[in-house]
Amino acid sequence: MKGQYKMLADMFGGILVVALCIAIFFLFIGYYVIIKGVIKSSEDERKTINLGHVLISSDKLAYSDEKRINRGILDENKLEQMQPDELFDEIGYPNYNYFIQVNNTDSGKSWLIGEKFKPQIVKVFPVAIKSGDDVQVGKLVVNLKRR
Amino acid sequence: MKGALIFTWALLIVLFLSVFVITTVFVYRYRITIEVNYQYNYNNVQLALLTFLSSTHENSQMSDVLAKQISMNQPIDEGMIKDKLDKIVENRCYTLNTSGIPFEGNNVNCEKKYSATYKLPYPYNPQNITGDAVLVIG
Repeated sequence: MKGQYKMLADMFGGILVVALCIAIFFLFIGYYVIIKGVIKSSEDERKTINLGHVLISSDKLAYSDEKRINRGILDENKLEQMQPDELFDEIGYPNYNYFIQVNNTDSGKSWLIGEKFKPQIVKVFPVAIKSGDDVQVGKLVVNLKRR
Repeated sequence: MKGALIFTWALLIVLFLSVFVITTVFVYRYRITIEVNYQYNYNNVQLALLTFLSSTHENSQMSDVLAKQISMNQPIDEGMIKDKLDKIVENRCYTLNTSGIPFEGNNVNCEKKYSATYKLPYPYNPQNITGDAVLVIG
């Protein structure tokens, strides 16, 4: 009888050790996956922020005279004549898709550059928009997702 | 007895590891979120001030309009300034302080604040050739 109890206790002990090993293994796999997910989502956010800053400083969108590019001041003429493919060929991240929306909050005009989709990250940047001799206020919205 | 001891140890180890994993994941996520948000909000306040000062009113840049009005002690069109700032900042709380003259948004009490400063060159004022324009957004 005593031998049977000992055998049962050893069996339970063995099962517990195996279960513990499996639990620890899955715990660390989960840990790794969650941490990786956090890093990836923060990387996407950072990329969206960087993209926004590159766009508002780019000759493709920003107002420029012969001497300099005016960072943060978008040119309405460039927005009107914008070819999305040209912009995406020059500015973008590999493995990411994005589209931008520019709203002139003074005049109510808005521009959509690129094809709309459901974005993973959306970031808004305040910008000025040069329209003729006037410089009005508006915002640039960058919508990004992984391919 | 031996089985119960192993069971207790196993439970304690799993509990400890679970607490460790959950705590570090949350701390890590919190830290990353704070860092990214700080970077984003700080940059956006700079951009908001840049946008405000670059925008025009009656064919003059806002930076020139403010500098002239302050240095010549002229009354400042508060409504126009608030209208522009409301459009740039939208629903967030803000305060623009130009050489001690504050312009405040509707929602003033905000917890976290980010600020940007720009030096305005004052014309016609040899005693005080520059002044700060400070925008604080919550």
